[in-house]
Amino acid sequence: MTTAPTSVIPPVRAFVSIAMLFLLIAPLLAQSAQKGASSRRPAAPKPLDPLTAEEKRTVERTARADSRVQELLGGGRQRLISVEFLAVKPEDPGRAQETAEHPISIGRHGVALFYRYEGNYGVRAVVDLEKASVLHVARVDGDSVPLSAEEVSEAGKLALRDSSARRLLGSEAERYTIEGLRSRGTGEGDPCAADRCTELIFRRGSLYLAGARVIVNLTSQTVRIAGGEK
Amino acid sequence: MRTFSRPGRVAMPLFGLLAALGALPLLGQPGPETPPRPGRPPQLPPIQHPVRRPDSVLHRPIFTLASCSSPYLVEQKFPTSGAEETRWRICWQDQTKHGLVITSAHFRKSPSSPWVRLFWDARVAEIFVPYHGNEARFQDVSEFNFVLHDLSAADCPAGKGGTLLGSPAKVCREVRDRGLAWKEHSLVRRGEELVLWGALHAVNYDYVMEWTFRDDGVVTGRVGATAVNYPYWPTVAHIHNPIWRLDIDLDGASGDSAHIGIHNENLPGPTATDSAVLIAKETGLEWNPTNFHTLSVHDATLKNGKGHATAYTLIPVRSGTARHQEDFTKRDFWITRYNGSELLAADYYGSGSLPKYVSNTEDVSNADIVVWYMGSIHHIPRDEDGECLHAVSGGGTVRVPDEQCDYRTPGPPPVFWKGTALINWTGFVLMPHDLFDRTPLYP
Repeated sequence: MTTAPTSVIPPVRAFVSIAMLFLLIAPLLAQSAQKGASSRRPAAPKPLDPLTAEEKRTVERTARADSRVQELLGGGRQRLISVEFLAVKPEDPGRAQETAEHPISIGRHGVALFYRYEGNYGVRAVVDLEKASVLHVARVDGDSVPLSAEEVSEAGKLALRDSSARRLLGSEAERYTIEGLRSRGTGEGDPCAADRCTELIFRRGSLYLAGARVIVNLTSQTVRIAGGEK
Repeated sequence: MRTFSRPGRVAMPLFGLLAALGALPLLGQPGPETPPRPGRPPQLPPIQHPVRRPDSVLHRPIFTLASCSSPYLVEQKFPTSGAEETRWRICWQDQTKHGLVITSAHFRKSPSSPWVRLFWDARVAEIFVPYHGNEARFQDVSEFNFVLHDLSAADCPAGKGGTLLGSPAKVCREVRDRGLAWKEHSLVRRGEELVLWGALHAVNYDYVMEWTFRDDGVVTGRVGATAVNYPYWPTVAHIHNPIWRLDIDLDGASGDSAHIGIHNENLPGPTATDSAVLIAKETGLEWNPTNFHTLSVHDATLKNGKGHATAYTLIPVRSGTARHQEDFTKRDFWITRYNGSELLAADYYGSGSLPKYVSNTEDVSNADIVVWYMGSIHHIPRDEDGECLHAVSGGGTVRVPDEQCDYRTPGPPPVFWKGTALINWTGFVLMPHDLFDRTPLYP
């Protein structure tokens, strides 16, 4: 008489089987977890999307780390004026063609513009974001460098600390919204012909202060009133 | 099979046979002149027009991998309701200095047609504002880092077909009824258009930058000047001169050429002729109203179903021609070879300059070219612009003569300028020529 073999799996073998199964599915679980994480991450920008905040920071950081930029900026008072998107048209026409199969292929580039007060000049750096490298560095005329929002804000604070401007603005000086336009000076005797100056515009609701001009010299940190009641 | 019989035409490049009577004296490097075209060429046997098939049969895959993503990607089919006839696909950006920039534009003239690129990039490259008394000569693009205003639902009401784009919203997308597209006896078709606009905040002034993409393939570009006169001299007349930089890459960057279109009345005789002159080298050109000057860009290989070379023609929409002491204002059209670093029209301490760009007279025939166009808004202040107010003690204001707001003839402080200049526009039309094989939007 024969008896059927028992199908009982020894405990050791069961443990090995479970362990092997876990080893098999572990990569799949990890991949799934990774997918979940990446879906929460913002999608990578497309070629013609504006620079993201992170990309702008990278452009500035990459530019500042470049030895040519460092040499031009040197020490002294300086500031970042802007970081802008740049679309570089490829020489290969195929890369500039958008089709059903692929978008254009132009990489991601940004332009950082810095201003240095001493010497009155700017430094412009073109950054390739994909290679994290600086493609081009140029020194530009300081007069061509626009005022930054921070400079206008600084000029507004200087004006609010100036007694002549305070008299002009009256008791509600703090209520004005202050904006600024570049002031170029009126001739050789005018410091603003060489310095970095702004003409401030004061607005309270729909009322624009008129009758006198408030000009702030950011280089010398001084305030001048032009016109007004004699 | 139903066919449409249409009068044929000699299949050749649009400008190939046109004459150059009265060639522009200011053409820097005029190209070969062509004989006058007194009228339409002789009739040829009719050609067959493709039979229209159901859209589902003709539907081709639209771009699945666009070069920009929402909200910078705008796609619009026309008509807005019913089966598609035409479609635009546009990328835009809000860029410091330039405001609303079109970073790509493609048009599809039918669901079965391939997409045709029109713009690689289109932007306002300067807004030059000289005041009549030389109080200031602002270069509102190159000189500053102005940005677009934030917009609200009041700017762009959904009930009027508006959609705010961006976060914060910087651009309004509107789909508008544009009135009659055509009328033929009892038959009629109303047209539609997609409009993208934003307002560049230039401190006291606002510049409304508007790009319109019509259902018939036409594009219009406009700049509108509005908001507050310069508060320190609010009654001084001035001119706003927007200069557009249009990087037209018709069906791709290479192989584009520009022609100046010239109309001549053969006075004292009764006939008239139209001609076109190839612009062979980089140059600037003057617009003459009696010549109906236009500037056309065509591609070396792009042809319509009749075999006619397709062009896009820039037609100025203007009230006058401004000429100032600055060299970049001495011409109305400029044609340059593409240079990615040439984004500004006016020199600002080395920032750029159209006369400089064309000074090396590079070849612009059958090349990657850029067209520049200057329009003008002549602003003579009027009482409708606003009023000068004197703040009185105890609160409130009283009106005082406008001169008292001028810093050179001020009244007792504090004085304020209050009011806004109603919007004034200048711009251009970019019209397709021989893109369609027949009347678009027509049964």
